[in-house]
Formats: sequence, structure tokens, C-alpha cells
Amino acid sequence: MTPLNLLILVCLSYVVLLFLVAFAAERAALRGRGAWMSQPLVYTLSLSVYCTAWTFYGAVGNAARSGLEYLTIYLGPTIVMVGWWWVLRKLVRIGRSQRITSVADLISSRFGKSNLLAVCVTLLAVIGTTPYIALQLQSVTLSFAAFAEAGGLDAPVADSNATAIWVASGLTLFTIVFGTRNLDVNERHYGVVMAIAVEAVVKLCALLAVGIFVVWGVSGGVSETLQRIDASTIGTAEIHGGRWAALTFLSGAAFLCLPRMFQVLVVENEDESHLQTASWAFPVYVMLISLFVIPIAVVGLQTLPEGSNPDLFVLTVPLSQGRDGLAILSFLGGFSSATSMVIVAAIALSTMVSNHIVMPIWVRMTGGGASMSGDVRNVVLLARRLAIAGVVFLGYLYFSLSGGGAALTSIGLVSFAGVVQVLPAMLGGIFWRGATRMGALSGLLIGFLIWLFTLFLPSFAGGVFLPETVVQFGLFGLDWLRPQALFGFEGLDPLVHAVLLSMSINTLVFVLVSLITLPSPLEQLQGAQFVNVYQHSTQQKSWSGGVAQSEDLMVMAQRILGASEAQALFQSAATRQGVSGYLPEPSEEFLAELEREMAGSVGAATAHAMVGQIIGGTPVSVHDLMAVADETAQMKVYSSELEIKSQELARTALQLRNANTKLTQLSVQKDAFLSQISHELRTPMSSIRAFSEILRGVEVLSPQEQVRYASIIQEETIRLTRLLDDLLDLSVLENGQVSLNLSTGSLSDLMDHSVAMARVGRDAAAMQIHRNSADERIWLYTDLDRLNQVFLNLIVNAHKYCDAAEPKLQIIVRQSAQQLTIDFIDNGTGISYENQNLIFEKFSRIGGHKSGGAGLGLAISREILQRLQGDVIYLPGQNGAAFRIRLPESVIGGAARADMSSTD
Amino acid sequence: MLTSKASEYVYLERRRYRTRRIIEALKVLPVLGIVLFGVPLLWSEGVKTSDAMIYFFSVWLALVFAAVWLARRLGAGAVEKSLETDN
Repeated sequence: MTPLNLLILVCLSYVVLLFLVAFAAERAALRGRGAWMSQPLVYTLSLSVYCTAWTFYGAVGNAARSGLEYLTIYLGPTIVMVGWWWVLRKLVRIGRSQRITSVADLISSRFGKSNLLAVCVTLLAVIGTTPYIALQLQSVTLSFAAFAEAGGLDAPVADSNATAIWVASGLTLFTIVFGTRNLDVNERHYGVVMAIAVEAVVKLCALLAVGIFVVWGVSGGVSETLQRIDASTIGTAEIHGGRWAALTFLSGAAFLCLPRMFQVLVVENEDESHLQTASWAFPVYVMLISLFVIPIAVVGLQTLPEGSNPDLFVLTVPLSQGRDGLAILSFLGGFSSATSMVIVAAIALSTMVSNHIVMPIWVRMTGGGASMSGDVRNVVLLARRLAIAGVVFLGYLYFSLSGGGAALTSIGLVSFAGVVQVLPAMLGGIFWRGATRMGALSGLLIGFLIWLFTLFLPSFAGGVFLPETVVQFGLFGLDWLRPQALFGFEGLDPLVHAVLLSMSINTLVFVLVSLITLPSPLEQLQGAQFVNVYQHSTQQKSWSGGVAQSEDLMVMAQRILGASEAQALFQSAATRQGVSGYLPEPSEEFLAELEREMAGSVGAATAHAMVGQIIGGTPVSVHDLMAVADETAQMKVYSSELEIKSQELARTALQLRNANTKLTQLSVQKDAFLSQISHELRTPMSSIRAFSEILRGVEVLSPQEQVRYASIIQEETIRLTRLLDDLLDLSVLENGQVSLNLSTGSLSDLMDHSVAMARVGRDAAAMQIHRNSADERIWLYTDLDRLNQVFLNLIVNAHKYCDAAEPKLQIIVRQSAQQLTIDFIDNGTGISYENQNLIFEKFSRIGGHKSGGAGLGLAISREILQRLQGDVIYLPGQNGAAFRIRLPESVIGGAARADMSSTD
Repeated sequence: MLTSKASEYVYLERRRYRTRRIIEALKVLPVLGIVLFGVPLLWSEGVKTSDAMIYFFSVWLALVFAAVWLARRLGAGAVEKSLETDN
């Protein structure tokens, strides 16, 4: 078997292996066993998509031509990764909270979901990436050719186009199968990521293997290798400051801006904490990748014949040493680098193209919204698949047109310089609230044009797009419009010249235009959410609903998210809102959530436009605007805090004032009480004194008179004692010192007892008492003596005060679920409205002293009932004086207890 | 660097104080990287490639070790916690 055939076989097996890995990963993720795939290690390895065939082959070529300069390509990303706290952390956080799907989506989202910006970034990305894809195809065909040459075959070399076609179609197939399996980009491509991680390991192992072979196998040790390096044509480190700085900057910036890097860094990021690991693991990876580059280059330069392509040293050095196995491993490494780049770039670009170019056009053409027909999911997937095929085909086209002549490195750098035009808008967008859409757009366009004119077009050899005369004498013959000395910047390296001019003018225009233009409300809102992502990374609210029809939204969402997913989303939202069924209220939160979910599928701008078409309402609510003006919001919070505090103070003051009033009232009450009580005491006391003085002082008194006076004194003392007893009773009750003597008894017995006691010393016929004995058959568990006291007081009062010709007292007992009420209603004139509140006060007597009571009875009754958790009130409108006693239900039901105790 | 919020507190709980210092170190690290990787710009002609390689890879390794150390010190979940107090 010739080496070439073997190579093809190995290559095919490798491809099959990759398919299997991707397939297995997808299945594992589907069954929920994908946890091990979301390791920080896998994330780090997936970042290695940065190391393409350009670095695998090109780094050695670069080293062979210009020494250590190749290092800059790795130093930039190392600095960015090590400084993850600055930019990457924020990018990842924004990407996750805003469901960003690509660089274009990030920029468009930030600047008010502007689709124009998204289209510009997408075009820039496509133009910048196409040569890069071509480069990958070229490297694969070149490496095939190298093998064929070594095998002594000439035919396949001429057929490099066929190789490129095969590779391109294989990659397209793989990417379509695993890259467009699920629609939501945020669902992540487990299969692709896994395959890329495997490829990352393969390319690292391959390069390390070749390096180890070169250092220990060919040169014979580390110190010998170092000597060999110093003795070679690149033995002296010549560092061109300008190129060094520009390239380091370029690679670091490209690391953030390249569509494929953004895809793996931000979109495929599963967990923010993975960044923490990747911050050192990725620098280790690229350090290992670049460790043996110089030794391989040096050995290649020294052992291979003059004129060999240094870009292929990684392959040709083992081949020339007869190590076919190592060469095949090395080929697989290069193949892995090339394929992983093309796959991820195609996914990233297809997402952009379908979300920002195809979908908006399609939405506009079909009228969008709920009125569109067919399944949008299929349209999006089809758009994406076509875009993948288109992107890879563009790369192939570029490859076959350009003839694959230029050195690998230069194409890579041209591409880098193109995509980093996004950088000012990106960094400005996430760090500067004042950045506006117009600023981003103009900076981007200016930068893009300068890059096109100074670097991209001149990179085509032979004046394909830019005639030689323009390069030499400037556009329209204007000297200051020479592509490689624009505005008279002469004597610079073309790359440095292009990067310096495009980036600085881009940034300058971006800042200036941002300063003089005003952002729209939506831009301000998005700006605040991006810049202050750590403060409010929770929700993005943008719709004021109310006019939206949930059903239309449902119809649309089903087409984009898929029927079951959309239904689940709607149902969970409805459940959260407390609505049954599938249709939640189109609240702001729900609309924002829906838009974000859809943004994961079709991009922010399209999702926004689609929801907008259905809602038709204002995209920004007043509430949002308040949130936008962060300072205002903070002020508001502060002032509302103040308001709360002052309200608290006012409340406290009011309470104090109330307490003061109450104290004053109590003091007045106390004075009144004292004067009342001294008055009450004084009246009997003075008569006692008068009559006792008569008994003592007047010597001649008939025995009858003596008896009369003594009995008056006795009556008055009894009255005094009763008064003092009542007072004592009241004070005990009021202080809550009374201990209740709880016992069980029937209400009818109690009532019989009270009525009988009230009639002692009175004419039984003087008042009729109506009772319903059936209602009174209730068992009570309470302080029966105290309750008796209350009943007695009420019945005696009726006896005393009822002024009807035929006094009648009705006692009505009612039992409800919550309480027991006992009404005492007589047929007298009742109590006037203004006195109704007074009768429960101490010493209040209506109608003068004719009854001779101290006026404490009702006050005591009320206190007693309060102790028993009930109360007594005056019941107006009963054609007579009416009092209602209310007792809680807890006193009822003593029956069961009583029955049980009686059966015991 | 103290943010306006941070300056409200004079004394911080020890762990939070540590976390803040680690984050500051994390912020300084790339600056250090830029400076160290920029040193070769000052070299006069004639530095041997092998010496230059040793220099670069040593700096690289040192940066990696510093990053590992800081990432470990920061600990898992520290990012989330610090975010609430950061800014």
C-alpha cells in the first residue's frame, strides 16, 4: 500500500471516528448524561479552535521566515485569557443573560437591536473568514500533495482541486449534521464541541510528537537543539517593534472578535466558572503548541533541500527522515486543525447569515408575525444549512480562484485585521454607556473600508481587484490615497500600516460620532443592560403588553421554537401567572422571556421584530426608561428611602401624639374618678357622721329614735361596703388579676338562678320575663359565677330602669357557629343614643340617683365578659333597652365534656 | 482601586477582603503580561534566539502559574459572590 493510499484510509477512519464521537456526545447529552462533557477541560480544548492549520503549519513557516515573530499570534490570546476578569467575563455574562448567538448579534443587540449593524458585521465576518477557510482547504491539499510527492506520485498533485472539493463537502456534511441538529444556539452543539475537543488533543499530540522527534530524535537533545537554533539562519532574534506590537494586539483582538472564537468562547460556554480554568489552561495549551515550532523550523531549514516550502516542515521533516507513521500523525494534526476551524466558523457564520440576513428578508417578504405560513423552524434550519454550504463553498471558490499561491501566514493576518474592526464597537458597547448605533456603524464602516483598501485588496497578487497603478500611485492618481501609504503614512510595514490606520480611525470615528449623536430609548436600555450587566443581568424588559394577543404569539412561537417547546414555555409562564391553560397574559416579563427564547433561535433583532409585529405596542415602557437612567433610578431609590424614613418618623410622631392624648385623657379620667369616688363616699359618710353625732351628743332620745338612727347608719355602711366591694372587684378585673373559676353547667340552670336572685325582695309579678327554655339547653364551660353576676346585673337593671306600664324582659339565646349571643331586651324607653356609649363607663348613671346604685354594674359586667373572651354591647333599635352578650364558641360544647364527666 | 461602594466600608470581612485583593491581582496580571512580553522591544540587536526563547517561555510559564494560583485562590463560585459586591 502506498503511503498516499494509507493516508487516505487513515484519514477516512479518522473522519468516521469524529462522526462517531460527535454522535455519541449528542446521544449522551440527549439522555442527560452529558455532565462530563461540560467540564472546564472540554471548554478549554474547544477554545483550541483558535489554532487552525494556519498555526499548525504556518507557525513553523513563519518561524522559518522571520524567527520568533510567530509567538505574537499566541501571546495576544494568552494575555486576553489571563486577563479574563476584564473583558471575557463580561462578554460571557452578557452572552448568557442576553442569549447572544454571535458577534453580529452582540453588536446589534447592544445598539438597539439594529439589524443594519448586524448585517454589516455579518458581511465583514463573511468577507474576513472566507480567505481563512480557503487557507484551511489549501493546507489540507498541500499536505496531501506533500505525501503524494514523497510517494513518488505526480498525478494527485495536479488534482488538488478534487481534494479540496472532497474535504469541503465532507466538512459541509459534518457541520450540517451536527451543527444544525437543534435550532436554539444556546442549546449548544455537544457533538461538535466534543469532536473539536478530540481534534484539539490530536493536533497537540501531533505537534508535540514531531517536536520531540526533532529535538531528541534528530538533534540529539535540548542543548544540541539550542546550539543548532543559534547556528541557523534565524539564530539571532530580530524583533521589529512595530510588527511585534501590532501582531500581539491583532491576535489578542482577533481572539475576541473572530466569529468562531466568539462561538466557542461565549455561545458554547456552559458555565462562567469554566473561564476560570480556561484562563490558565488555554495559555498552557498554546504554549505547548508553540514550544517546538522553532526547533522544527530550524531542523527543516537545515535538513531539507533549498526551496522547500517551510509551511509544510511539520509534515516533510518526518517524511524526509522516513518516519511515515509520525508523518501521518502530523497530517492528522493538520487535518484536525483545518477541519475544526472550518466547522466552527461555518456554524458561526451560518448563524449570523441566517439570523441577520435571511430571516429579516424572509420576515419582511412574508409579512412576518402570526400571519406567516409554514413552519419557521424549517425555514431557519434550511437557511442555516444553505448558509453553511454557502460559506464553505465561498472558501473553496476563493481557494480555487486565488490559486493558493500566497504564504499561509499572510492570508491569516489579513483575515485577522478584517474581523478586529468589530473590536471598538464591541468593547465600547460593553464598557461605555455613551456608545451609539451611529457611532458603531460609522466606525465599523470606515475601519472596514480602510482595511479593504489598504490590506485586503492589495493582498491579491497581480492586481486582480486593485490595479498595480493604484498601489503605486494611489487611487485616482492621488498620492495620499496609496493603499500602502494612506494619508502619507510611509515607511511602515503594510500590515502595521493597515492595522494602525484602520483601528485608530475606526476608534476615533466611533467615539466622535457616539459623542455627537443621540441614542434611541431602546439603545439606552440595551446599553445600560450591557454595561451594567452585573447589576441587572437578570431580566431584560422591553415590551409593554396589553394589546398583544397571546394566541398569535403562541402560533408564532410554535413555528420558531417547535410546538412542544413553545407550549411548555407558554404553560409554565401561565402557571407562574396563576392562569390555567396555555395562554398567559402578555405581561412584560413573559414577552421579554419569549423574545429571549426566540432570540436564541433567530437572533435578537429578528425576534424583536417578530414580537414587535404582533404586539404593535411601544417597545420601551416608562418603567424601562426609568431603569435606563441608572443615575435617576439610583436617585429615585435614595429619595424613596428618604420618603420611607420620613413616613416612619411621621408614624412615630403620630403614635407619640396619640399616646400623649391618651395619657392626658387617663389623667382627666383619674381625676374624675377620684372626685366621683370621693363624692360617692362622702354622701353616706356624711349621713353616718351626722346620725352618729346625734346619737352621741343628744342625751334624750327615745329608743325608737335610737333604733331608727342606728339603722340609718347601718344602711349607709352597707351601701358603703357594697360600693367598696364593687370598686375592689372592678380593680381586680381591670388589672387582670382575676383567676377564672372554670366549670361546666347548663345555661338554663344559670339563667334560672339569676332570675330567682334578681327577684329576691321584689314583687315577682312586677316584671314579666320571657324565655325560651329550648334555646337555653346549652352546656357552658366557663366561669359560671361571674357570668351569673353579669346576668343578674342586667336583669336587675331591667327591673330598676324599665319604665313601661307593664314591664317585660325578653331573654333570647342564639347559637351560631362562631359565637353564642344572649340578648336582654325590655320594653322601656331605652337609652338615648348619646348615652349608649356612656353606660359602660364607671359611675355612669342614667336618670339620676333614684335607683341608688353606684353605677359600676355595667362596667364590671363588661370587664368580666372581656375576661371570658366575650363582650357586652348595647343593641339599639329594639323598642326598649337591649343588651347583647356575646360569648365565643369555645364556651359552648361543654356538653360533650359534661356528658363524659357525668358518665365517668 | 476602591469603588465608590467599597469606600463606604472601612473594614471588610477577611474573606471578602482577600477576594477583592485576588481580583485586583487578576486585573493586574494581563498588564504584567503585556509589559513582560514587551521587554524584547527594548533589546538591542544580536540577542540569541535560544536565549529569547528561554525568556519568553519562562515569562509564559510564570504567567500561567500566577493564573493557576489566582484561579485556585478565587475558588469555585467566588465569581458569582463577588459579582454582587463588585462594580
